Amino acid sequence: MLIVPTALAAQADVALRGRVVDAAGNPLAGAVVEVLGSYRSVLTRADGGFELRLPSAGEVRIRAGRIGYTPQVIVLVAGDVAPSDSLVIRLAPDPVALRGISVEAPRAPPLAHTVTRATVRQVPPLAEPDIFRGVVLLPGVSQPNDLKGRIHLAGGSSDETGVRLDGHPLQDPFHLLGLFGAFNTAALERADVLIHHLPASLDGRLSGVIDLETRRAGAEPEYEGVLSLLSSSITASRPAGIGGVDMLAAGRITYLDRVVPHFFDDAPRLGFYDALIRLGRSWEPGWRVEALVFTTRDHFAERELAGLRGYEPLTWGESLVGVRAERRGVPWSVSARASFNRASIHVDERNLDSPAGRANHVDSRRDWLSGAVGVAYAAHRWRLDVGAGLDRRVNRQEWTARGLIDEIFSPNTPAEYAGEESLTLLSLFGEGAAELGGGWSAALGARVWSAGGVHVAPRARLGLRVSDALALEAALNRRYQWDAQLEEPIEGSVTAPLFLLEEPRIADVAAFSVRLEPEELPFGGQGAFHIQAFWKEYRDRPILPERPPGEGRPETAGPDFPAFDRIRGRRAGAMVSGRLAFPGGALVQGSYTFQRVFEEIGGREYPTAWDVPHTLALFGSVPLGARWTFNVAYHAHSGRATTPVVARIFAPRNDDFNQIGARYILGERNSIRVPPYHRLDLGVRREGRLWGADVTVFFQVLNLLFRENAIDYDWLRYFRRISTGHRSGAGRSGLPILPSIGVEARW
Amino acid sequence: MVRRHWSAGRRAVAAALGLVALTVGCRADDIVVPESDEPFLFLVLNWRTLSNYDLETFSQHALLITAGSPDESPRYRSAQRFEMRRASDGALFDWRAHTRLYPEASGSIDFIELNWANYYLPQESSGNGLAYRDLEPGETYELEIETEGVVLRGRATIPESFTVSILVQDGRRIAVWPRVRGAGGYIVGVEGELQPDTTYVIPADVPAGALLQVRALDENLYRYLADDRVGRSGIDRGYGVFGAVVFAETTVPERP
Repeated sequence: MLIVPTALAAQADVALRGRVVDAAGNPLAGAVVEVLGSYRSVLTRADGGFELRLPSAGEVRIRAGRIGYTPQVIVLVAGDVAPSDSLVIRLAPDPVALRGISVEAPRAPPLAHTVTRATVRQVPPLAEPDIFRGVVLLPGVSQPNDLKGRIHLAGGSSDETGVRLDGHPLQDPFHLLGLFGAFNTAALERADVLIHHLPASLDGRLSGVIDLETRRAGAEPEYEGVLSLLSSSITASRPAGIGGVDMLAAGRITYLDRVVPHFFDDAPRLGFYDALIRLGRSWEPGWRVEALVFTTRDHFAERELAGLRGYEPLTWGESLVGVRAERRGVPWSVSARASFNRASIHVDERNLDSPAGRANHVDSRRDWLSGAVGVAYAAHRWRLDVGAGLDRRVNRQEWTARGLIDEIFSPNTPAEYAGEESLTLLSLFGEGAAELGGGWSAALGARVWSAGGVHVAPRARLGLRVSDALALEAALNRRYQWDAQLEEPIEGSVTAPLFLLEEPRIADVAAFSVRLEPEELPFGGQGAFHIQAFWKEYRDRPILPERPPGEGRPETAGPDFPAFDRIRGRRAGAMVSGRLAFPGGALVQGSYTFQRVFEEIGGREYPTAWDVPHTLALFGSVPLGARWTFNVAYHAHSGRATTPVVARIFAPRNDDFNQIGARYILGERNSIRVPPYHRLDLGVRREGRLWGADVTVFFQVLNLLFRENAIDYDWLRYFRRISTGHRSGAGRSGLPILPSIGVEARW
Repeated sequence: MVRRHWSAGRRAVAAALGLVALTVGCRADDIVVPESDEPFLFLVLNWRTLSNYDLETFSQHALLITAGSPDESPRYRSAQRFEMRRASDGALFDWRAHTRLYPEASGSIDFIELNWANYYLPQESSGNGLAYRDLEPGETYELEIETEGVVLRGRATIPESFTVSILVQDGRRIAVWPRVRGAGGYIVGVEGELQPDTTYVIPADVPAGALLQVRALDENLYRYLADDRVGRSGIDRGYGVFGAVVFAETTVPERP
């Protein structure tokens, strides 16, 4: 709805002022107001206000949008706008848009998908909503098995996926050996998943970035508590108060370590917490400064060792302190960021006061100090972004970990290692974009890295908006990455050791996208459909060299460890996704992804261990009356590639020559697959009011079909089971059938 | 315009039908279990090493089975010809088949009791060829077995005999021995650790008077033990190992 309270008098080249409000007249902060067909756009302030410069003459179309609201387009004649005019744009809620996994979001980067707090909540969760368990239903995004929460983007390895929180880089934001994300979903606003095209201001990851934004303050204080079988959390969001400072505070803690031992005596003591505080202040015209503190910590104590004097259990986590300042305006926008981040792992069993037959020790501390500045100038038909970044990383890692090697480290990892390495990276970037007319747009840019030489990462993007319903985009990127994990973990684990690289990993990415948003579909439905295809060439991928036959596991790392081999590889794929929303609120969303990932070793190409050719994700949501919502998610993909056993033979176990045990001789690398993965999850949400609060009870059953989805083969167990007739799912399996319940309360 | 809305019940039915449709075709693929007709041989020539077996009738034995399938217990395999010769003079050994065995090797799908190996070498020569007591350190032996249409050949050298001594140095007890000719590595210590080096620091908790054993493994056996990716060592066909081992021992002294 548009209300224009005062006459728009004719005047050239004038700033347009206004406010964006909701249906009740409350201001909407963070809404995007843009001049369609141009690069002029602004975000509304906390009071919903905005100021936008219009071109000096001609008809302009102003679009205002915010996630969860139906966007409004207003047509104005620029010359008729007077300085004293104030435009009030009223946005109506659009609950349908909240029920899909991905939403058509204002500010979404090109070729990206966006999910929101509200959409993630609809996905039947593993005990409680998790942003990473939501994004996995997007095309091109995968988690190879239930026990691995780390994300693979378009067939890349998990260490090629970057995670940022309000622009600050994170290293390992996961709980419970990677099973869950380390974010309290109530404290997040949205996540943009960038895979096929990274703007020049973003680089450093070969596969893409999950760009998380913390919850924005509303017009009124908002409080939210979540109670689940896994943990409890509290989130408080307050608008500008004392000194004009707005605040977000959130904390979450599990009680697994207290509850589980009552039911399972031999279960390890496993616990975690995470917390986030953000303070922000806004000034006119369009300035905002934010300080952010985020921390996450897990602990894992072996049952038989817990309580022994001298035992320091496994702990890991990450802490971030960041400051961000920005001014969003037209034509100038500026931004600056400084971040310090530390990820650590620690366990020490060396000082146990009773012999336990173990002496594991891991002490890892990875510090990442980074900063960036950027300036953008948005003219009517073109936009220019320039900036610089500085990264200083220091990794101190040491371990004596014979007993932990198979769980955390690569099979080629030496039993002992101690080392420190550092890396300083300076980068400059620039990117220009222009509307070329006729629906064509183009962007050209590059990021230049200086470390051990100069490395240029050019990128280009070409877009064609055929109509309001149909848009085509193509992108070419070169990407660099300056670290590498030793080996891709098969299942959930503490982060494998990560090493900095003097010579970066390199990949070239080409992508093409078609986006179709028909005005209306049969039965009054609305929908959006995407087709995307990509090709990626790894020019310089590091892998640990396999040790030659006859050499056992190295005891101590040499001075040149890890001395990665550099190989080539490639991946290619295509994905189709769509979302259909029907009157009454029913919604169906689905995606199919085909992709292959190969690496070239010794002159031959092999699938990687995470190569998963076919992935299907379906999500449906049906309102059942006014208060109930029924949600279903189905996820299926090919089994991951693994190496088969071609023969069982026998060998003595060192000094015991009386009995010889089975040894399995492996065949060609990654030439078979574990059985396909299928999982069906159901969830029900009921909303209501209780003691003045909006209360939602959510109940879900994960893996309703009770399918044993194999993670990998434990060959001995596998052959033992098939000898007794159990052929499916033998080996290490993922989740059992898992019902859970939780409560959200908002007031 | 009349717009029809589905009732909650009809929606639930539709959702249930959808679920049924989704579950159709959910089937786990089987992994093909390997089945191999190749022979597997475990023959480690020992000199005063494997004397701790219960059976008195032989001390040097060989296991010959068909690799078969990993989900079945291994089955013995017969040799039409089982010949081992001393390389220096071509003298033939008197390898014999053990006749009191069941078709399946004693054990299960993941281990075999070597006490129940199916071929053995008598302790003393009976005139049909050389016997266990004729094995000598430093000597090389050549093997040729014809089994169910497959001929496999191998060659192994028993490492030289050696002695172990213990030095007391800087408060530690260190076992040292010379580099043994013909040896690729050693098994030493309480845990039976495999190592290429010729020294070993005795853990402080090993009491005085304990016997410390050092086993010198020939190249074939060391390679077979050191890398669990190795399927064949010392033979040219099938799977398994034709290797050799000798041992030396000494008494651990008091801690300094």
